[in-house]
Amino acid sequence: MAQEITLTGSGAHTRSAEIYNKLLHELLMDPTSLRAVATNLGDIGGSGSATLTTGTVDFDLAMAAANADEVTAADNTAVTVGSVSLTVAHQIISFGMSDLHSIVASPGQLDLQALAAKMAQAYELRFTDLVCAATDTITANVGTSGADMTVDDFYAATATLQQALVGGPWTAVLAPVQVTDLRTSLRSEGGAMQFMPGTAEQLALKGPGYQGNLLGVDIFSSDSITTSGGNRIGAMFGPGCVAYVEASARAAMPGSIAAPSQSPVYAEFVRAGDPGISRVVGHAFCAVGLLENARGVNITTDA
Amino acid sequence: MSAIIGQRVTETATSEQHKLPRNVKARARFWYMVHPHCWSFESGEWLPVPSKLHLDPGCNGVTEGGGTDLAVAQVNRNGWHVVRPSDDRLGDFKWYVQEVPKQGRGRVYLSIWDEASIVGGRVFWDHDDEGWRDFRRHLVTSGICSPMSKQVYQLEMHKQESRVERLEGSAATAPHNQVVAGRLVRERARLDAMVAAMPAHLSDEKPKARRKVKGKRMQEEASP
Repeated sequence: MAQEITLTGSGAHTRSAEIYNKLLHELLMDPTSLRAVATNLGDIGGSGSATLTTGTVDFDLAMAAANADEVTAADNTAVTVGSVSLTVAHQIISFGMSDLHSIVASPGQLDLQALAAKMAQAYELRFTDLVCAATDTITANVGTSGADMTVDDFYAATATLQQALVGGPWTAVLAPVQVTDLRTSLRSEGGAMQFMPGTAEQLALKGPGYQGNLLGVDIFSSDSITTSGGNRIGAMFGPGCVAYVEASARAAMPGSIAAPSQSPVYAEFVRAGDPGISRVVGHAFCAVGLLENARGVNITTDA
Repeated sequence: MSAIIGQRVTETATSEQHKLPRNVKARARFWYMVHPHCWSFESGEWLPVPSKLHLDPGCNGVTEGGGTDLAVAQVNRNGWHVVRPSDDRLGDFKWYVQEVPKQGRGRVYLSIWDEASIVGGRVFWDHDDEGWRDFRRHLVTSGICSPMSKQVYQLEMHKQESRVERLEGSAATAPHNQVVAGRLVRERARLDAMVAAMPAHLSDEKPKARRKVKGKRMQEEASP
């Protein structure tokens, strides 16, 4: 037999060399969001300042016995008053696409709309970075430099919070290697202690990055955990340790897409006629910081 | 007529081969800071554990243009002492931050004791532990960081004793568990080493009278 039409022979020009899948495969990334574990101090959009100062006060004080002589007045009780200031800063992300790339795209392929849909997630990722950087300034510390994380470190962190009278629920944010080291250490533990992996419902409630619960502490894994001295600086904290402030655009900025009410993120399409580039730019204004140092503890273990 | 000679194009000038890959996260500039509570026992000695003040706009009071006044004031209020890289007392450790080139947007700032190498497309991070310890030793000897206080020493000892006690309990209830037994041996040895390495200024310290809050002397018979 002869004269067959084949892909590599006479029929080579009747078929495309390759086609592109409409499905886009997303490369590995860590989508952990820690917005839910930080205390929202408010929205200062339209407030007249970029800095929000929150007063801190210790006025939950017990009464004392009155003077026994019945005639000496009780002096005023001192109230500890302080403040924490957070200044919102502009966070931004921008994607650009050339006209040629846009024009030849077929429906369903990567386009500016698909990139615009990633703006909210880009903000969450940035927020997680800021939370992990903020917890670096917690002064209490457990763990052993250069040694893998163990259950003992986890116990020590809970003991620190307990002794500091930190109310629950507690949250631990650990680097992925700290989570795996902790689980390895758990394998050698006896007794009633149990790591409870996150269920589908919990993942939906607590957001991406949630790993499970150990000793009543919710554990999140994040690759945003900072490093120092060859160690990873994880953290465990209670409510009110880390706080944030946002400034939402009350009205659409000129040329931007109107953001939903109270949304900290807004986006806009920008076009440069020469050389023919379209961009989508996402903006957000936020600040993250420690509200009360005593409500957290760092967990420093080997990276 | 003189010839116009072009510049030789090197690999580093034309390719992104010698930069960290795009997927490596940007890391903001930072300053180290020390705190009287932050000490650690490592390789047989007590050393301060510096933390980082990330100079990242929006984080802990750092303002949009990178202003640090507010941030430094707040960390000072919490007891931190910022070690600025420009501090002359740092000596050879002055300018301890390095910038590593990265593909894509953002920059990566590391300490001079961190090193990244790319092997087979994967980034490996190395850390000069000895250099890092030298730096922390220098922080104390240069007077940038105050020596460890007796109270913090006792606090760290207490933490280690608690760790040993918990492991003793685990080992007693599960004597067959070799992993726990091994950890107990290591932690006991560490506790002994921590005692042996007690800083000299603490062991020589004469017992001081407790500081008393001045109060009005009360007469016993005045009370009911």
